[in-house]
Amino acid sequence: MIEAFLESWPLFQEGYLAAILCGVLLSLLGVMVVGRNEVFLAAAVAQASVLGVALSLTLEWGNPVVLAVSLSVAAALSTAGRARRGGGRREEITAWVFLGASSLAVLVLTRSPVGMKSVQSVLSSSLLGASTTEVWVFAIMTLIAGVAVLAWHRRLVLLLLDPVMASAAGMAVGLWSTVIAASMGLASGLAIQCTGLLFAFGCMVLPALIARNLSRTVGPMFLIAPATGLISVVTGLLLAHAYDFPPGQLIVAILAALLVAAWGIRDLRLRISG
Amino acid sequence: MTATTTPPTSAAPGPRPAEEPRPAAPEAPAQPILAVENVTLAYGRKVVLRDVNLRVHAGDFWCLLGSNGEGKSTLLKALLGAVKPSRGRILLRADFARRTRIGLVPQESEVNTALPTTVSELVLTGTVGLSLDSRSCDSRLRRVLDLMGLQRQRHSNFWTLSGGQRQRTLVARALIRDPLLLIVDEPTAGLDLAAASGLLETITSLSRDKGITILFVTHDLGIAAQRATHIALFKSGRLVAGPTSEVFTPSNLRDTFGVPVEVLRDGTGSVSVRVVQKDGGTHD
Repeated sequence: MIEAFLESWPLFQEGYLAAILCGVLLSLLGVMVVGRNEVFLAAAVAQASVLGVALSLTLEWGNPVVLAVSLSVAAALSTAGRARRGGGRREEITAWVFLGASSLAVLVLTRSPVGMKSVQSVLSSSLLGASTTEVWVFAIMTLIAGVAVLAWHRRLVLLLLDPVMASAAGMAVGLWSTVIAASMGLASGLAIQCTGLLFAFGCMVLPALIARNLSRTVGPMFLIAPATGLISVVTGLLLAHAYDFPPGQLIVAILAALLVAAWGIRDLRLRISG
Repeated sequence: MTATTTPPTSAAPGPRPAEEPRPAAPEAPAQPILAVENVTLAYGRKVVLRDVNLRVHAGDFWCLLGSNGEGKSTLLKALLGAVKPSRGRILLRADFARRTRIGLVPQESEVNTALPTTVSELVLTGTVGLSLDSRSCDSRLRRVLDLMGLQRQRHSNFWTLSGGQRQRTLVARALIRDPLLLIVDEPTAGLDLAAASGLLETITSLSRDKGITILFVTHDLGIAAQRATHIALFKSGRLVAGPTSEVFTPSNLRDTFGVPVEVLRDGTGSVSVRVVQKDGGTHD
């Protein structure tokens, strides 16, 4: 199985590398998303990206990638800003973005069969169409995210555990939230364009949820989540190649199964520790 | 540094009284470590506190008293930089400006319940912003865990501890910063009597023995009566603040809480309070 997979590597290497790098990058950012209880926000940001593609194709305006990323970042920042101002409407804004973007994306494409096909391809997650440029972009973003987590590990843990204490310790919490939201919007927007909505959303949320159930502290989540993402993507690509399954869907299914296993392990650990 | 002797200040300063003969040149007042000047705090259009003034000096033990929703926690968040004043300004003395010597003991509910954490991880997050190597961090961690009696629980899951142990963990996290100013937000809420009393004694001894300035939010008039050197009363978006002897009066307390309160002072200077019930009875 592994030999056959390696033989296919030269043909699909950009797609494989993009999937692996996206898996690691989104899993790492996902710790911040899950830690701040923003899973629903991640879904809304993903839908905003799809709307960007739809608008670009229908209006024949600009590059779909640029519009998708712009709308993702805008969606992430709008909710971050609302949270910073202390408004109680954050959930409402997130729901509004999710539902508005989902419905608008279909409505604007109703009269554009070609555009509808493109959006369906984004929604269904095809991993094998990445370009060399995309691989480089994801490699650089993964490297930056990894270095940032290493350099500011304790600050990120404090920001997740207790933002008020983070302020008391002199952290500019508003600025941190904005940078995190912008990073999430940027990574989601680019990843959804390259790997599809299901894969990107799955990699952002599921590895971090698995890490939260397996870890006893916040710190190791930043290691467990990307490691889970990496292993799942590689395993999924191998199995998809061997048994001719769509890789994006298979990887997400593997992650979903691992989450069930993580729940079991957590329950067992709690029972043993009394 | 001495405790402030400024008279009680109302949030909306009234007209200046007629000229009075000046007393003999007083000793220059110590510079406050924290000054709140004409600050208005709001969430969107909803104003929580209006034109608040407060001056906190080193060594003071302030109790912030008021009913729920009167803005006590909001003022603390503003002092910590988590809420920006819509008007006025908050000044920290130069040596506090980087906030390295400010500790916060939040309400337990401020800690994110969605995440797993242990006592040592949570306490070590208190070192953020300090320039400490890992040896110094470990040494401080050991010291504060010893002080709070948590050494045996250092690897325990924070969420499986008792309420008192969790609050002591939060105090330890504040103390690891070696604070000069400790901000404490209703730390005894939900604790049993023994845990609450132990925690109060610890905080009081930090003020008394180490000279740490305390800002203590509470609903408990007894705590304020027995431990505070200064009181701030919150009512309807306004603040009345000053030394306990001047502010902690039956009329101010009645205005703040809406019930008649007796303040009893004995010969030793000890203060206690009694709420006067409608039938004329009292309870402490």
